[in-house]
Amino acid sequence: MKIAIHQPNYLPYPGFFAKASLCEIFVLYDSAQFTRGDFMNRNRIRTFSHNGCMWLTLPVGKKKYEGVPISEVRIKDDAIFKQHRKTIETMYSRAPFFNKELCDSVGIGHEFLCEHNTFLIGYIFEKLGVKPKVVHASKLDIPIRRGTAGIVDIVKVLNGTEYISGLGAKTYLEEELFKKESIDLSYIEFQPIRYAQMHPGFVENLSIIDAVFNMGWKEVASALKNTSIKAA
Amino acid sequence: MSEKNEIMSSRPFFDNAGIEKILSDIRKTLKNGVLTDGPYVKKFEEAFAKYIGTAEAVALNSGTCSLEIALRYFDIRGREVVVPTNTFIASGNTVLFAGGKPILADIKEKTLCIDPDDVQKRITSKTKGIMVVHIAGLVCPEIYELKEICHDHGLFLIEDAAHAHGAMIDGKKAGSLGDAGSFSFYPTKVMTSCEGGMITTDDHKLAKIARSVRAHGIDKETGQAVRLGYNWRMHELSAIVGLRQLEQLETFIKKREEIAMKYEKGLRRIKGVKPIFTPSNIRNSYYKYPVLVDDEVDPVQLAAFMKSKFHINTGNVYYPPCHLHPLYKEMFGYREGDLPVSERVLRRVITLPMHVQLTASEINRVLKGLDVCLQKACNS
Repeated sequence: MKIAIHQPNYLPYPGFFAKASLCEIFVLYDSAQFTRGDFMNRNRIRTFSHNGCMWLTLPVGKKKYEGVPISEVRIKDDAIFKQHRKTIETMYSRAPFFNKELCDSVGIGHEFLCEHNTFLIGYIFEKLGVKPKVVHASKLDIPIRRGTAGIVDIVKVLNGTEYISGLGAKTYLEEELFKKESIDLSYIEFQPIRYAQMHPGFVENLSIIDAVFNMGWKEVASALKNTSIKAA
Repeated sequence: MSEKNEIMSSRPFFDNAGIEKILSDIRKTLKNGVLTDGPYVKKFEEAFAKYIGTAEAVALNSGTCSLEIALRYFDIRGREVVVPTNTFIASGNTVLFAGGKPILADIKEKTLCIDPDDVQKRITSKTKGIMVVHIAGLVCPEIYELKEICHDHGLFLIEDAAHAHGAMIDGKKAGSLGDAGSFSFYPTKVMTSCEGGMITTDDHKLAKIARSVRAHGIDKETGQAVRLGYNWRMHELSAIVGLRQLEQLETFIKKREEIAMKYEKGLRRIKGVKPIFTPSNIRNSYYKYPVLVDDEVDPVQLAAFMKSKFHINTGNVYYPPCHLHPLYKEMFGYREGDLPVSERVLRRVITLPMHVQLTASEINRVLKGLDVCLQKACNS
C-alpha cells in the first residue's frame, strides 16, 4: 500500500497533486501544527504585471493558531471566500480555460480551514481524475508525534508498505526509521509544469488553478503524469 | 495429530546452558537449605529493579498479589479505581480484594489499550487511581495522557505490566512509568520464574510495606505483625529460574520482534486481517501477537479451523472483556453495549502463536494457515 502525506494546503501547487496521483492512500496531515507563513491558509496566483503574482490569504487570526493542529483552525472572515472568488475571476476571466465552476467552488465558505481546503482539494482531485483514498490524520485516533516518527506512525497504522515523500523532505527525514519498520521510502521528482501563462512572464509553482485556467484540466492531468518516483 | 506438528500459542524457553546453570544453583540451594527469603530472591529483585530502572523491586509469588499489594498500599477501601475492561479478570479482582470498586473503562480500537477520554468520563470524587494495562506487550501509547490525568486529579497510576517485560516507550521501560509497576512471571509470559510476580517502584515505603505484606504483615525490624498479610513470598527456586530468564530477556525480546516483523510483512499480503498498531516510539515486547480480523470473519470459526486444519493454536486478548463476565454483570450490573469499542473490537481479535522457539517455517505455516482459514471462516 503506497501512502503519501501532506498538509491540507489552500489551493495547492501542482506538485501536491502529482504526489497524490502516485499513491493509494493520501493523508491530509491536519494533526500537524498550523504555522504562519506557510501554504496552509494561502497561495499565489498571477497578476497582470510582468512576472507578477499575489497571495490569496485566508485570515485565521494573528498568533492565535500558531502551534495549534490545523484541524482546529477557523477562518476568521466569512466574506473572504467571495472576495477570493472575485479576485480569481478578475485575474483569469480571460484565460483560455477559465471555468466558472472552479471559481465558484473557491467562493463556497467553510468554518474551518481544513474543511475548506479539503473541499477544494477533493474538487480538484475529481476534476483531475486523481483518485487516492483520502484520509485525515486527525481521524486516525493515534497519539500525535512530530517529525519522522509521526509520519512513520501514520504509515504503519494504515498498513502502508511504501511512503512517497516530496524531495524537499530528504534533508530532514530520518530514513532509518522507515527501514526499521520495513517501509520502503521513495521521493517524487516533480518538475514544475511549464505552460504559457496569460500574463507576461512565467512564475512557476503557483496554485494549481493558474495551470488549470491556462491549460485546462485535461492537459494539467496529463502533465502531472510525467512525475517519477525514486527509491531513497 | 502428533505433538511435533502442533504450533503452540506460547511456551517458555530455556536453552541448555541456562538449564545447567539453573540446575546447578538449585542443587546448591537444596544443599544449603535456604529455600525461601534467601540470596537468590534478593539478587533477582536487585537485577530486576536495575533492568526496569526503578529504585526498588519486590519479588512475590504471583502477578495478582503484586497488584493487590500496590492497591492496598494506596488504600482504596471504599474508593474507585479505573481499570480497562480489556484485561485478565485478575486486574479488576485485585481492586475488589483490596476493598475498592473497579470502574471499567473502554479501549482504543487501534491499540486495544485503555482510552484516556473514556477514563476522564469515569472519574468521580470517589476515584483514587488508575490502573493501566500494557496489553499484549504494547506500552499503552497514551501513558503520558494518563499520567497527566492522574496529576490533575491527584490519583495514583499503577501499571499492570504482566505482559510487558522489557517493553519501552521513548526509551523508558514499562514498570517505571507510574507510581508502581506490577509484573507476572507465569510460564506463558515473556520471561518466567515458573510462577511469580514483582512490584517495581521508586517509592521505598511501598517496597517496605510490600515486603511486610508478603510475609504475613510482619515488620522485619521488630518481628511483629503490624498489618494484615499473607504468604505471598517468592521461593528461591523461582528466583533462580527468574534470574536466568532475566539474563536472557533482551535476547527473547529481539527474537519476538523478529517474529513480529515477519508476521507484519506476511499480513500485508493477506486480506481480511491487520496487525495492531505499535507506534514507532514504543518497543513492544510482543507477549502476544494480536490481529484484528474483518467484520465478516467469525473469529471463533477461524481459530477452530486453524487448530483442526493446520494444528495451530491461537488465543485472544481478552474476550469477553471484564464487564461481560457473569461475575461483573451480576456484581455491578454491566450490560452489553456499556463499553462499545471493546465489545465491537475484542470479539474480532485473535492472537497468533508467539514464543522464541517459533521457526521461520512455522511462521510461514501460521501465515498460510491464516490466509486459507480466513477465507473459510468468511464463507462458512
